[in-house]
Amino acid sequence: MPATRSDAEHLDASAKWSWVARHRGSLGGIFELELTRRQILSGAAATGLGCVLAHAPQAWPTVSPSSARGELTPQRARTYEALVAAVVAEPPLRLDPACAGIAAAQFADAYSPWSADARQRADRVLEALQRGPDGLPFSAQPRGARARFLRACARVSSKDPAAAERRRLALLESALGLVAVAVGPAEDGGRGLVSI
Amino acid sequence: MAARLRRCVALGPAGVIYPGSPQDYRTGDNRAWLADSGTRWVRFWADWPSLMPLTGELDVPRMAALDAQIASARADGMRIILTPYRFPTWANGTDTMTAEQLAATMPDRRTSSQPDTRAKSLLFRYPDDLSPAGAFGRFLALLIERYSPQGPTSPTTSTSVDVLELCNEPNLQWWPQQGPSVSEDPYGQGPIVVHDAIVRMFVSAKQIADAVGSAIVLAGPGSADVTSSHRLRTAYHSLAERILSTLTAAGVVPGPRFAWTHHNYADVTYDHGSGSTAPDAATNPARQTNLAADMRRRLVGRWAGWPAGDAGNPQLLLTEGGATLSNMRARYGLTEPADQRRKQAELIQRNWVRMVSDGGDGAGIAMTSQYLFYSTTYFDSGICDEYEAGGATRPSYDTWKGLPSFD
Repeated sequence: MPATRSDAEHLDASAKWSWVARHRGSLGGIFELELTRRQILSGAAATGLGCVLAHAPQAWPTVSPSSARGELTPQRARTYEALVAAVVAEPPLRLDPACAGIAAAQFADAYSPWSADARQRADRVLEALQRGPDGLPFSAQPRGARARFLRACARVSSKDPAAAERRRLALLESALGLVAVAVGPAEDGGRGLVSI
Repeated sequence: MAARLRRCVALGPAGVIYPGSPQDYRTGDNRAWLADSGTRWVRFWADWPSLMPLTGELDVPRMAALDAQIASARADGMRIILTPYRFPTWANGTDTMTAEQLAATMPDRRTSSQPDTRAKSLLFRYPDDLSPAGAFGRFLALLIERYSPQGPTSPTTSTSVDVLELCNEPNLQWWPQQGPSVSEDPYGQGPIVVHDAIVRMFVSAKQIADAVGSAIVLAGPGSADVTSSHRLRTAYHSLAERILSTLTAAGVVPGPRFAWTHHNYADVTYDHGSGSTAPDAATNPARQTNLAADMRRRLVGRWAGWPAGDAGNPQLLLTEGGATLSNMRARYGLTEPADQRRKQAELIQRNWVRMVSDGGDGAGIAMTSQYLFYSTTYFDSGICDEYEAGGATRPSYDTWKGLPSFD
């Protein structure tokens, strides 16, 4: 069963978080859902997600309708700001986390003109991240906990990471890719990297 | 026709930062595409903060992942360029800076009108100590010993690289580019200083390679082809002139195991050179100058480097380049994806024709590179779609595949 926009439209927030809470591990529900990097970002998520949804047909939060209108939803904006606040305070940047608001505003401006596909990919990343660690949504976590979660995502345990590890690395890479939209020199033309 | 215009595909640094990602040599179709397209060279990254996150302490799994990619490429018969990238905060001193000291670095990291979020990363601050005994020198020694053909600490005899490119776009990414402002405005112009760090790196690398008897070819500076200078960037020609003059003044001769490297995104994107097809070619005289050719002309008589140590005929390696689809839209006004892809392919073909010509802009150009097979979301220069979107080959892949191959 393919994941479609209607899955999200039919899911209220309490049901979503109730389901996620039951399926969350130490690194967040995204990993238990067995999503691949491709599924996270492509907006298709048909095959693999279909297997999961066979067990929880109403559960998967995908892209809400506001994305189709080209605006970043308030919740995704909060997730993004929480992400940036955690990232910029880390050793590679050591900035005041308060500057995350500026970055979030710039990201929202950059996001709106993107293609629907690009917006959906960003939405998927932010939603996966929001499912976050330790039983609380990412944006509701203290900044230190968010940073620890991101650092945990960065750990590599073997030269050929197993599937689950690749998925959390992919989530981190994608999340930091979104951060780089509004953080770092604009002159890099997209080749700039943001690290945790 | 140039005797040997080599073709290289540069994978992204994510291949070592996130092993298993689409920029990992072993992922998806990367290996198959290199073989299928007749590409004989591949470029990897040695991201220092990822490989050595703590003082002198390797991230063993990431190092092993880099080893494995290099070994796989070697097993596939590839020639390899390895580029050290970025500087850990423990090595460049930024980890001990106070908040006030960090605030004082902002004129070197962003413009006066930008927010701090637009500042260059602390990972692009080059260390003050670039001697063989310093942290950078020790990291270079590790790479040279580990990846030299038959190096003393190579994990296997098959784990070696051909070229160690010492830096990547230092004139754009690193800081500081300039010394303190000569005016009261801390964001004002100062003397260009970044070349001095590059020269010290070059000298240290030569000393290290000579000391261990390495057969590896050193290379640099991997200059970004920017043409303007201010506190945050240095034009490629301003950088090159200073490096060459400083080396000459110091009596440093690069020799046959030291190659000059440069990037040519602007040349590819704007079809730089005589007969440019750039939309503004009729009104912008800059479009008639191929920057890679200009860079190479500046080396003549001054760079006695790879491959023969002959300053009269220096060779230049282009280690990054390409055309992004977003630029096909922004610069050429092409809104249809199919049109953007066709134009990307056309520009790659036109760049090849320019660079392969011994009598024109291609004189002394020994390698041209394509940045990325799998495109990335925010830099879509790849000749294949994003991995996440299925990774379909683009028309530019067929163009690339159709070009001659040289070792």
